[in-house]
Amino acid sequence: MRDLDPDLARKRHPAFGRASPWVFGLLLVLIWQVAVPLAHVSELTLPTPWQIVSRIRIDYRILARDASVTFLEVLLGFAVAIAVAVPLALAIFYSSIMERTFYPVLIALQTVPKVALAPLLVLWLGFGFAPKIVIGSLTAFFPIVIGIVVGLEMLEDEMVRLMKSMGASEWQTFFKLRLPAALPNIFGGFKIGIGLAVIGSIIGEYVASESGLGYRQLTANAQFDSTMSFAALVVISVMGVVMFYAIHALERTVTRLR
Amino acid sequence: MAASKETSGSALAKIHGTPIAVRGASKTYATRSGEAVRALDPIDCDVASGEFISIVGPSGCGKSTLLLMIGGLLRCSQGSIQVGDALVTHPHPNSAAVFQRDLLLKWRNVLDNILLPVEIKKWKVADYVGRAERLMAQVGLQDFKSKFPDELSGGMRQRVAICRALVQEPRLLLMDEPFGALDALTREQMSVDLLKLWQQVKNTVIFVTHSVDEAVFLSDRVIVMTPRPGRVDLDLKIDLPRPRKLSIRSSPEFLSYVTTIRKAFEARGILVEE
Repeated sequence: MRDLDPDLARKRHPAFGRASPWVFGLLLVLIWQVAVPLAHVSELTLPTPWQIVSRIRIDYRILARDASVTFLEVLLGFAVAIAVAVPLALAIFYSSIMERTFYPVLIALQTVPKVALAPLLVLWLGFGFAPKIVIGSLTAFFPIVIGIVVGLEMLEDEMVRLMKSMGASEWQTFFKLRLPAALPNIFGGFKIGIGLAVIGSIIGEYVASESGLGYRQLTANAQFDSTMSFAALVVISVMGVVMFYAIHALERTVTRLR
Repeated sequence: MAASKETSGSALAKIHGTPIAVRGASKTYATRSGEAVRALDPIDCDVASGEFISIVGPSGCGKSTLLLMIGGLLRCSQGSIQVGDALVTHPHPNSAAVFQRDLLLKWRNVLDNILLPVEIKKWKVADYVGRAERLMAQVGLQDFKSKFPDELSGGMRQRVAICRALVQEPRLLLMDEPFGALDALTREQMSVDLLKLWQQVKNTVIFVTHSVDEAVFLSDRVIVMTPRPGRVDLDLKIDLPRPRKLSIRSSPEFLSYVTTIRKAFEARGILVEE
């Protein structure tokens, strides 16, 4: 596992390792900035990065308000997904009846495109927070359950036998062995889940809403305001990245504590 | 209290062993198709308190099964096993096990791995740190206590597993091919180290192995098992003086014990040339 640690590359080439994603990102932005005027593309079709950044600076109040709405939707959607996924995953892991009952249904449901449920959810739940949270949690839910179940099932029987030889209860076995051993998979599921929760919430906003970054983008599009649409997109991306790394940081803290 | 002496090189306290009585214990597995497979024919054997016993036999003869049954990690199909005064129904609180794989928790450092059973048994960890450190010093791990398992060699990891078992001061130590995954040289060193530890604690040890030399070198008694379904084929007392050195393995007495065991194998169609 240690070999897959992204920190390893940084340890080998400390300065370059830390700077390389920024350098690459900046290079892409620079090409974009230079190529657009050279190709005589209008701002309406594709604004330059500088135009987008300027727009964010001008309209930061609106964007910040929209971002806070979307942020809350994503966070709540993710929280609901975890609240449902954890007990379900434990039931699937500990009970063969539950596994036989829920697992096939879960896999069947996974093939349903959850975002396609968005219009129906709006019909049932209205225009407020609720449908966004439900769509967000539905999309985030599956990888979280799978992460927990697979993580717990990966443990070798011999390890459990060792714990038994020490006289460990199942409670002790879970907290000293099963859970810490499953953490990489569990957090893997969380990391995929949070990204999907962002997508789910934005889709929910596309269908029907009065605020949020998805709503902002949609209205900007309707007004042929590509720059604002891009500005909202940038804020969405930044939010996704920040949430991903928040979970990454949480993982590192929890992993150190185990 | 064992933890009172903090000097790392000092000897380990003696642990009282425990007698074992195996009475007609057998094991039958059900295969997936519902077929019954006899892994172990009824076994009768007695182990004296503080005895070092090895069980040797071909793969699949049920020697590990017998060990797991004695440890309470597997039920007998018939018969019974008694460890000390207690009938074995689940893992005996006074026994500890070492398996072929070290089974260290990779997120715990060496010291915390050794102290895991102390935590599980809800003993006071502080009382056992001294004993853990003395054990580590005895097997050359004193400079590795903050290292993590993936920073150690296979031999080192298995030493940690042995310390983890002995920190519990077990009256009965169960070892299931503990050196089976190690290279030949490390393996010899490990048997020397194990004897050094056992010479001090003198508890009851049951040691399952494929290696005839290892069994004779370590044990007071070697039990040779037949191929599946396993039965006791030969129960051989090893009257070699202790403490034993590696050089004993070229003595005529040692070689005659090894020959006796090999002959028993040959009579069962194992280790036959042609």
